[in-house]
Amino acid sequence: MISGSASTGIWAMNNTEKERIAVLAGSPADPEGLYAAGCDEVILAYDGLSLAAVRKAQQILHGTGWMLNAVFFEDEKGQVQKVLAQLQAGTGSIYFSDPALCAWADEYGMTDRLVYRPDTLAVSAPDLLWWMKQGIRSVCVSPLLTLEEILAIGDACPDCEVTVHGHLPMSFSRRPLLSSFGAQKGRFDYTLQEETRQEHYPAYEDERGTLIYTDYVQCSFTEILQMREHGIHRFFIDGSFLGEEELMDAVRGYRTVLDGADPRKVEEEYRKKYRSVLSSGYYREKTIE
Amino acid sequence: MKKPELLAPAGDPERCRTAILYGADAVYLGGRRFSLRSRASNFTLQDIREACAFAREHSAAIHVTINVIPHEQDFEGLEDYLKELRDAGVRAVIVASPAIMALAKKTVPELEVHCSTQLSITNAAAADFLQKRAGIDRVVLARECSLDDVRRITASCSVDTEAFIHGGMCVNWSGRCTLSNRMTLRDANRGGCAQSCRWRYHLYRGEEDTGMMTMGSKDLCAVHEIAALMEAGVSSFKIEGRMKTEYYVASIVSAYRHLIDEIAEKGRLSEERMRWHTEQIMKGENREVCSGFYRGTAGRDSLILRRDQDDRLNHRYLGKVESVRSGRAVLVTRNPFSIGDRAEVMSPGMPVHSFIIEEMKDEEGNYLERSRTPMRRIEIPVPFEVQPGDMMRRE
Repeated sequence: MISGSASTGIWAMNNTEKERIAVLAGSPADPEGLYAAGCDEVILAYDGLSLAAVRKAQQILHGTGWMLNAVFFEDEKGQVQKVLAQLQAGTGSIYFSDPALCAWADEYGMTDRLVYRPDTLAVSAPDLLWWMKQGIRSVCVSPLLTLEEILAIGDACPDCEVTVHGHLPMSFSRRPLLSSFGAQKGRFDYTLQEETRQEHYPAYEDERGTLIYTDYVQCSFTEILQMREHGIHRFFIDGSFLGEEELMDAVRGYRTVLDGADPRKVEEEYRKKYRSVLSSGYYREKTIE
Repeated sequence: MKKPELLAPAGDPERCRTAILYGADAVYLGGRRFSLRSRASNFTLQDIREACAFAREHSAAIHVTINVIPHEQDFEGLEDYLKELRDAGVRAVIVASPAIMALAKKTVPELEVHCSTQLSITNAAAADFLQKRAGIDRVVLARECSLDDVRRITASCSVDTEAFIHGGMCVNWSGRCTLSNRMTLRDANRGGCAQSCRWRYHLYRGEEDTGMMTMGSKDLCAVHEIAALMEAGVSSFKIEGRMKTEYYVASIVSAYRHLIDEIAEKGRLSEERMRWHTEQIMKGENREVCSGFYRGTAGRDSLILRRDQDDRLNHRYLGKVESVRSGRAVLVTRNPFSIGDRAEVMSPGMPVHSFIIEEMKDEEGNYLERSRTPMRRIEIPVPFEVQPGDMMRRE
């Protein structure tokens, strides 16, 4: 599989025949280092058209993937189509959550580059398979599932993608929730703490609204091997609120685990180096109705 | 001007009948499985059959929510359930999963499939896509749409549109919030939402606590947008609130029924008439309201900022008429009232009449100055005709 930065050629060294790691870069300046660390596809958030707490880009880089996962309004159709026309020449994945993007991408013959990433909505094999039947490249499994559920989905839909690492988005609002209480838009240093709890939830606001992330960093150094055993070969790392070095080390860690390193040792080293609260998220905690 | 369907919520059979009697063209309800609002008292299949029969008698329709974001096990028994709904006489199912939409269209093509607001549809292309690929017949628009968005989508969309006009609003995009999952392990997308958005949070910038904030949203009240939404050609006006009381359902449905009918007959109404209709709606409401996104992005003034703004009790509902004898109504009481209070009676399909309470007796025949206790039977003379089932409230 060919991907990566055409300007450096670094991507060509990665063994990406099977497992593939996509990384939402914290900043448009990151890509080359991420490819060197073992990432197969760097995803950049498109300025104005993505919901992500990372620095956003507008300059089209050949080979990168793009996060166009906003919910689009009627008057944005022209703008999105213009961006799709610009991206047409590339090969990178286009992550989306609004079904309209599927219709618009079809007009440009780009359906097979789409990855459906609705965060919470893809929680069963029938829904994932329905989306795959539309001719798209992949569907991201919701991180709300247990490991057992994810593995079962992998058995039915091996081309699904699993978010293995990073702070997970907890909520998206169109409202300016932080600036309504005096905060500034576009800053990455805000957190929320519920008055009876200790955890701090990273929060971010821009012109599209407000995002709140988990206090913990989802971590899957061990589980990624089980996922691979069940046929899953696409993995995603979310760089939101992770430092540049931490993100690189995460990518390097997963790549070495996939290449045969002991996952417990890799996780231990990562834990030692970073103060992030690592968690297995919902892998072993089933939510109730 | 297109006269839309007025679509009301019902959490149980009694509220379903009330909604229809007070003017709903259709009622949406949830079965025991496959539906959000798991804590609402949901309907058995027999309840749904009876609701459909009652709706048919009153030229109304029943829509059933299958709006969970389904996990693997949620598909078990779904085909049979869809067939049962069709056989019961349900008109439409409200669905959030494309796989279920496609399954419903294949299994029970007689049922309309309405795309739930859980999918946050804000443009015509998304609705058209789901129509072509999953066969939807209607789209429930996201509450984040402005009036202009609704106009444009409705004008160009290949399916009917449905818009919320009243009731609770999620502060986040519907279906995209997991605050409840993280904080309580209750899955918001399967009916377990703990409403964690309404709790209070410290807002930190780095290490500095900059103060408290909350994210609870005021409820939607689109009374002033009704005429514009009708002009836009929206097919259905939806009231949110399957967990709300019978009084709320009767008051809100009745008030919007009168408003829609009057606009359909006369066009845009005077400020005075709009003030009157707004007052009628607010008699049933117990929460702060706002116009949501209809006039642009909902900002700080759409949030519940003080604890005491949330879920204030509405003491206006005095009780329900149980029986009538020689001009005297026996009321099963809810809130306190006194001799001299002015009360009004809501009766299905009738204008509201008011009177002054001049006398009341308890079940033992004792004359009272004030009724203080809920669920007691109080006899009151009423100077006009009332029926069992009518509701009495403070004017």
